[in-house]
Amino acid sequence: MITFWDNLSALSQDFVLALFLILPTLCIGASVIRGYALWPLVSAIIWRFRGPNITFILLITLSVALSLSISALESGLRKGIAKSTDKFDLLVTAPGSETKMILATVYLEPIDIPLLSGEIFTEIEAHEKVVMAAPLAFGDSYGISPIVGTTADFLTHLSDGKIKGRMWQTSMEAVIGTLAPLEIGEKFVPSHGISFSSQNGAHADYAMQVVGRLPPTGTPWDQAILVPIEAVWEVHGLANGHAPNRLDQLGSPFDAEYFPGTPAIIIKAHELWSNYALRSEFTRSGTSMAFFPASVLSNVFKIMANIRKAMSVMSVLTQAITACSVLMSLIIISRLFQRQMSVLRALGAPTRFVFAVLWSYCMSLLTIGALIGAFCGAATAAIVSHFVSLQTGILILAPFGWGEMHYFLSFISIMALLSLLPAFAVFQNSIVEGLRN
Amino acid sequence: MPHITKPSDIGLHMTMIDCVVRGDNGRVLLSVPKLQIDKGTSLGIYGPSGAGKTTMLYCIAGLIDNVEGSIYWGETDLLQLKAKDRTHYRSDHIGMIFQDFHLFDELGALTNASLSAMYVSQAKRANLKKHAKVILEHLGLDDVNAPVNRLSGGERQRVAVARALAQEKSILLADEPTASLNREMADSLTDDLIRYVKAEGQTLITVSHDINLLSRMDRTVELKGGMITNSTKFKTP
Repeated sequence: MITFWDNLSALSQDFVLALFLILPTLCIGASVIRGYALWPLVSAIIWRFRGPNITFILLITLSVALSLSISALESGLRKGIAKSTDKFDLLVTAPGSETKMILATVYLEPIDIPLLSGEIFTEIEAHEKVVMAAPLAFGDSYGISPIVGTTADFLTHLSDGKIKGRMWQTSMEAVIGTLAPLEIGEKFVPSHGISFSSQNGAHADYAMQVVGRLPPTGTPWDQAILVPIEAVWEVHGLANGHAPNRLDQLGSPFDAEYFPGTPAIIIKAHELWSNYALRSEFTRSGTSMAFFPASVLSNVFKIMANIRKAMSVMSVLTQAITACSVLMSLIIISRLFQRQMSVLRALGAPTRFVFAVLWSYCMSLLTIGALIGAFCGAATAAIVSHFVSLQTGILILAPFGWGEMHYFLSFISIMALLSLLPAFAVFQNSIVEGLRN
Repeated sequence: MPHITKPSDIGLHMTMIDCVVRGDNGRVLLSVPKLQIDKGTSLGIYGPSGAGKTTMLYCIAGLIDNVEGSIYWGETDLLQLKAKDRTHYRSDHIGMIFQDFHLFDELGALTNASLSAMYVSQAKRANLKKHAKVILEHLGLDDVNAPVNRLSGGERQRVAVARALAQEKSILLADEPTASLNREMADSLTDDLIRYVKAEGQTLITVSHDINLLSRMDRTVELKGGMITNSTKFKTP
């Protein structure tokens, strides 16, 4: 059985699980409602007590919307953050906090980090297992867009070669991220520093021209303006990484003697396994540190997973409290039409019919509330993820997936079971008492 | 296993023996040592407010739990049946008309009158609705689809009567069926009711203060303080 389950595709497993979760509702519904034409009566009761019913539906809507949107956002955020490291296989930086280095390089946060020497860079660049070694240089900006100096090879790697326009050919040309506030052909002057602390006019003599635009990457690099690293060094009056007889050269190979230093080197190896050898080789005490950003984030997610587990327990408790509240509300609401139920019983309506009317009434409210809640939850997740994406530059997609579908179906089935209780509660009341109410 | 009269037996005789209903504090609300009604006859119950008239009617309908004694409808002792079986018995044999109509306000007159169509077998639904419509039209209700919350008190009472008659039960129990009607309408409804039950051979028990209605009953009993004080043919004062 376990082997059979394991052999199913992920989609089939999700589908089977969804069916399994909704099965209790279908079974209860079929056994309770079978053979009755009760909907005119159920809809009449819903309409008659529309005030309390709408309030109840709104409460269910809110509960479901909150649960589903938080679940979708958490999942979307995790995937978005993880995806943003896709192009950063192996990172070499000066020794320090790996998280801080990732923030500065992958997420382009304006953080001061120490530089690596030209010797280290040229050693990596010349390594037989390395396909691409790209140095990075930060420090300038245009508006809210950080200016990042790097090599054409890294741009090709980052964009999978799909640059709109063309690659830079001189150190006065730039390629922009898809969200950068510039157009191809436009000129701009870099400001020294980042964002609010930038000094406009500090680099007034260096007007650069945009010649290309990167496709969307879903990372903070979409906001960036990318320039040849030589340009960043030259703007700051440093050597441009090449010997005086090759000053016009852009990109690799660099000359260690004229290399001003880089805060980070992004490495792409020939083979996946080579990354592990490179990591060991360039993790040197006091000199450099090599690590996989995805692996660091994975460790962060492990910690988050523990927090999630703790939150899950709290979430289950919250859901249990919600379920109790829903149950109490249903019992209170069902007392509103105790008289109507007593009339049915006095007229000789079968017990199962009265039961079916109450169960269908409760399930109608819960299903309407849950469906609107799912819609509102999806909308909330989409809106919040859009704003978080704008704020962080990380593309966060929070569509409802199978996880949310399973939650929704579980909620319906648990409520289908709970809805049996108010129906039982009605039969505890005397018919005569109900008729006299 | 108590004997249960089959639904086909039209017009049942009823016998109450040593029937006692007590309130929560043990006070006797109704005490009927013996009362017998022949099948197909009509009985009127009258008396001052609080005398136990409605309690007696509910008791006869098997709506009250923990009643002492016996209430035989035909060969069936209603009090020996479990609550579920009493409900089933009502479904098969007893039509009820309530003083406050007890209609479902958001439903139309015909849907109310044919309420039991919602839970009877699918094969019977169409006939039941058809019969309910005929009764409603016969009782003078013009728009059978109008929501009952838009109908006058008299019209609502007619819908309640139609609901009780639509299933052609052998027993009809009515609580103040003419209370909310003006004289003319009350007399008209009384005529219709009597004609129906006589035509169908039904046994009718009605609680009423309406002298005109009571005078049309085969027999009447007067209740005072939960006890029958007079049992005879009603005489107009």
